Amino acid sequence: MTSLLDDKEITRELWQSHLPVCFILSDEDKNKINRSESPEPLYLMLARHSYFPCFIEKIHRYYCNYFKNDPNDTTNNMNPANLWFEYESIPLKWHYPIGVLYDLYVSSLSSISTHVPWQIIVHLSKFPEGEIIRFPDKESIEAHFMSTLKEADALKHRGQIIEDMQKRDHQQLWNSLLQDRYDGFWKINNKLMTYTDNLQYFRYIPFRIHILDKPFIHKLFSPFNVEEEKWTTLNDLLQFTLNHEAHCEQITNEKKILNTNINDYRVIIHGIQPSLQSPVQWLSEHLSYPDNFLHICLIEKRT
Amino acid sequence: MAFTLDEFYKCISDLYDQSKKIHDRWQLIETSKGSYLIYSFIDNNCLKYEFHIVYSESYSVPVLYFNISNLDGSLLSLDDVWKLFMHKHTSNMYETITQQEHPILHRPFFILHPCHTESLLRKVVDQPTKKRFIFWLSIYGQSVGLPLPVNYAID
Repeated sequence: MTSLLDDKEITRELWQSHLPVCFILSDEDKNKINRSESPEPLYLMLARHSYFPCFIEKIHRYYCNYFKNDPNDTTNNMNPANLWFEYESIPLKWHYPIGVLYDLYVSSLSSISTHVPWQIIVHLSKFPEGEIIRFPDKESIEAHFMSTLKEADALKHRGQIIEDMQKRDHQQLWNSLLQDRYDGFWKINNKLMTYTDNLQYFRYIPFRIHILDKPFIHKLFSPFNVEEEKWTTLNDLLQFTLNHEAHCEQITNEKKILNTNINDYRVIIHGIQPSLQSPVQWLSEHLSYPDNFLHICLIEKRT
Repeated sequence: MAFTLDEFYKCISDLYDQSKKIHDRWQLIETSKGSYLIYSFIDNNCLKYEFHIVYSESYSVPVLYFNISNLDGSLLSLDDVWKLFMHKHTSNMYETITQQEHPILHRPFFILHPCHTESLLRKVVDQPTKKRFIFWLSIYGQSVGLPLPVNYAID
């Protein structure tokens, strides 16, 4: 599939998408402060494609100020490793990009007409280790990002591109993401958007479908239908995946079978609802997150 | 070189049958998300180990997930796990064991990263599927404390 040069500008626009987030300390942690004043909320503009764990240090440093000079000094308990975020009683799975979490949870749960700023509760204790992955340092976030990138490359090119890259190219991908450098990132990422094995498309599309209260769904899906000699669309991908998932649930006697009617959902990628007739090869090249996955949020329409 | 999903299901079903014969304790779990194996035990230091063998569709290989907990249920940290199994700290610790979301249970689990499994399996490319699976399991499993009796290698 040949992309127009102008289509590349879409990737730059997406790179520049940010979300205003308001971090509020949990009531439980507020009660541990002996000072008369409550901590002010912390407001940050965060890139949709970045990861909450990258901001643990900054947020922790901010709230630590309110615990200084506490007569009952609980310094031993003030550990950034115990910091985690909650939205509407849900611990945020922060190994997904921030934009994905917003699209999934705020679109599904928010009852107010205005969704910004996104109000998130900060917890400083009782880390829910059975639900959230720990990221003890920057290297662990990088490792997670790179492993997702490798999986995407395994799907697209059998892992050939990422394997042929030099270590410094991997580092440039991650450092450019951290430092918000679009040109630095895409100089390397363009290689991951090429084709191999004499194909004019990816072997399989790296995608994950996120539905509230369900594990994400992932299947092997090709961007080109060889038999019918035509590009597959977002609608094809969704119908194939939902049908397969519902079928598996039926044969294992699940109590609640997934709704396979696409019209009952809003389909959100990067905060927008693309046409269901969009070719998935094009979407994968232009609307993927930096981890090279299409993160598709299906939000059930309210009846 | 890699495994198809059907080959994987055959391998874990065979391993489960063999486990029953020798009174070992593998469990075969069937879900709408796919089938996988579980093996758990408590070691001499009162640590509870739980191993899961799950198929990766992206890599077309089996993947070994595991968690280790104290008897109070709290999980060992990544650093604790490294200390248990890695004889020396190297610069690519993060390329061997990391924490990831279990693809069926969607809870945090440690994972021996599968991106090198295919190159490992190339060493035994001419062997039958079942032997390749046992070969993979013995190499990966022993590196993180999974006991594997020789019975599984004998037909």
